[in-house]
Amino acid sequence: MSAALRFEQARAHPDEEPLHLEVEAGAFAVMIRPRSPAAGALRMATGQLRPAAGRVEVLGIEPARLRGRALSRFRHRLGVGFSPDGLVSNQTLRLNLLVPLLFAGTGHREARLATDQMLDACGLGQWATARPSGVPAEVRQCAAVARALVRRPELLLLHDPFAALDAETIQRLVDQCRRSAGTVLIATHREEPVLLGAADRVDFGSVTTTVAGESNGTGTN
Amino acid sequence: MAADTLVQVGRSTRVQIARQTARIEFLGRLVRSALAYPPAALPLLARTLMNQIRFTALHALPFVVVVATVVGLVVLVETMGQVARFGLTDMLGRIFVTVVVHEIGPLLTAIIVLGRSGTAIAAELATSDVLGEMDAMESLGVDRMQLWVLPRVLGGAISVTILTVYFNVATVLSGAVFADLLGHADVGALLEFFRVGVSVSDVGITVLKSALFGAGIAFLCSYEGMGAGGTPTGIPQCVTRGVVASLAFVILVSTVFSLALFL
Repeated sequence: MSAALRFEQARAHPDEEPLHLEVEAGAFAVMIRPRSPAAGALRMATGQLRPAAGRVEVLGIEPARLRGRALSRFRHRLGVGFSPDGLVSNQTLRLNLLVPLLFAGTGHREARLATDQMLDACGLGQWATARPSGVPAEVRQCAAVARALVRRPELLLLHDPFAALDAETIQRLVDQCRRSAGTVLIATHREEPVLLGAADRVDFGSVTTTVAGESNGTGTN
Repeated sequence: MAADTLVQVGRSTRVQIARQTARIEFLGRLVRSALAYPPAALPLLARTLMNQIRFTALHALPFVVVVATVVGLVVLVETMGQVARFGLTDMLGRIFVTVVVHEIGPLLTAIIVLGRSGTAIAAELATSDVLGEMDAMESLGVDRMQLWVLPRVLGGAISVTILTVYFNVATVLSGAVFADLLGHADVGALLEFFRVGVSVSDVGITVLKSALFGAGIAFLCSYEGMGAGGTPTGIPQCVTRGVVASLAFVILVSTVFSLALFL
């Protein structure tokens, strides 16, 4: 199976420990790292940060080489959630999920249906018309994960997505991630038991790691 | 001493050139984003645009009408005294149109919008940037120029145009009514003066100038808002920069239009 994500001695900043990690298509991987390097790794994968050293390859593409529309089209294949969540404060939770679908070219009716389905699947149906400032922290975190999943991405990248959530909610979201995304990489600085139990492999950063997973047939090539 | 001054001048010039070049680049990115706007997201653009027009134009309307009423009274009283002294009463309509419709109306309306909406745009965009909202959407392939800047620039152009029309009509009406109340002239005769004095080209110039003002204010405040530097302390600074840049732009454009019409 080919690698969905590959970091080859990649560093977001010169003074960071190099990251060497390969995640095969269909895997559910967890990467335990300090906060800043974890965020930097995900930004290199989305093309928002050029590697200071090494190489990053995502879905067979080096994001650092992309520009303009090619970069946008590449990002439409990803689902991304950072910490803090970055939900747009003057939009409802429903609109926060709708916008990435519309900008990826999904028709309004289809996008609205997909949005409502994902909100319900993540337990957010009752909060659809609320704004991020008017909901509890745990609802915001669920909404950020839902927004990353709504396009059923080939690759899901999440940074510390479950900090404010209880074990039951984390399990529900982890199951949703497995159903909705092709390959998953969750970067976190906390060793969350539910998350570690669900992962195919966990990388603690001290050794070269290859993570192989079973294909779940969703969003993979 | 002279050498130090020369160095300072050179340094300031270089900074200004860099600043203007960056704004031109930002304009280029905006135009490129507008041309590449995804058709599926056009309903979203329309919705955001309507919200912008509601906030910028509709909510500002009462204040604009109050200011226009006061301006109409002041300008007409001042003008009436002078034209009557020199026997140029039949020029009143033309003078009023030149002063109010061409100059004061668009300029004062732009300044009101700058104070109300320009500051809000700069602060809102700076806050969105600081909170990581733009980064988060960008990571999902959503262009920040398309989502945040384009609706505000279009909304600004439309809103200032609408408000300027209201301002000019309110000024003319208030001037006519007060002139009648003060016994200087008949309302009907004055309104006929103004009707004759306003040509299609006058309306066209007003609309064009207003649209430029509105687009320029929103553009410059968006530019400064997105250059807040990602920290909360940068927010008030970018608001100030946006206001100053927009004010300079409005005065410059107004001057250029006046000179072009005169020449």
